Amino acid sequence: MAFREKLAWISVATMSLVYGWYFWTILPLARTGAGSAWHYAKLLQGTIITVVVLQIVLTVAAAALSPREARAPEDEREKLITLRGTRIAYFVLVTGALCVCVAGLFFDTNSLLLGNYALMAVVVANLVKDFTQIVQYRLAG
Amino acid sequence: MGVIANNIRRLRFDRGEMTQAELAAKVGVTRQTINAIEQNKYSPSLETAFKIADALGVAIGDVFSYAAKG
Repeated sequence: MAFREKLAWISVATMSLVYGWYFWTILPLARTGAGSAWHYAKLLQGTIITVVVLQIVLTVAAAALSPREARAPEDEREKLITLRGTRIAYFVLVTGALCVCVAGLFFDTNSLLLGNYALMAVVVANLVKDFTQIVQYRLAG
Repeated sequence: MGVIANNIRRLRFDRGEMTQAELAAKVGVTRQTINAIEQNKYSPSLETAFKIADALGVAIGDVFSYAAKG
């Protein structure tokens, strides 16, 4: 498996697990408006720190297993795969942002819920980018 | 659209079973990219195509060929 495919898997695994837990926990609370803003901020802070730490640890471990590949810069095929993933993720992010706009303008949605929907759009777009890259690495050798 | 075919596998064999990793290191790409090119799943840039030919010690036309479809 290519080193950059491993990085995409690490990103998918950490983001889906940690943010999955975060949204599972926070969305029911945000809908009812229960809990303080401080509580929400601490949850989000903990989630971001956990994702960053997990990704750093797993990336260092993957680099230790294949140090030469880790040091090498992206080649032209890998750059193309990254660009295709980013392009598809862009459309997902724009769609998510439009959905958040509609929720804010036409539905009685509180600001906490809107903020989390926006964050969800970012997370989903990132997952789509990683999945697209994985599929391309799998299909193209 | 046509098909870009290549003889990389045979040319590697002719050079004492040069591995994909060895060729990749000479060209400056990953082993997976050489594998993708060999299997016609990825068409390299002109620069990389020249580098592959150079690494194999042949002219670019001896490595890659183009066949128009239809």
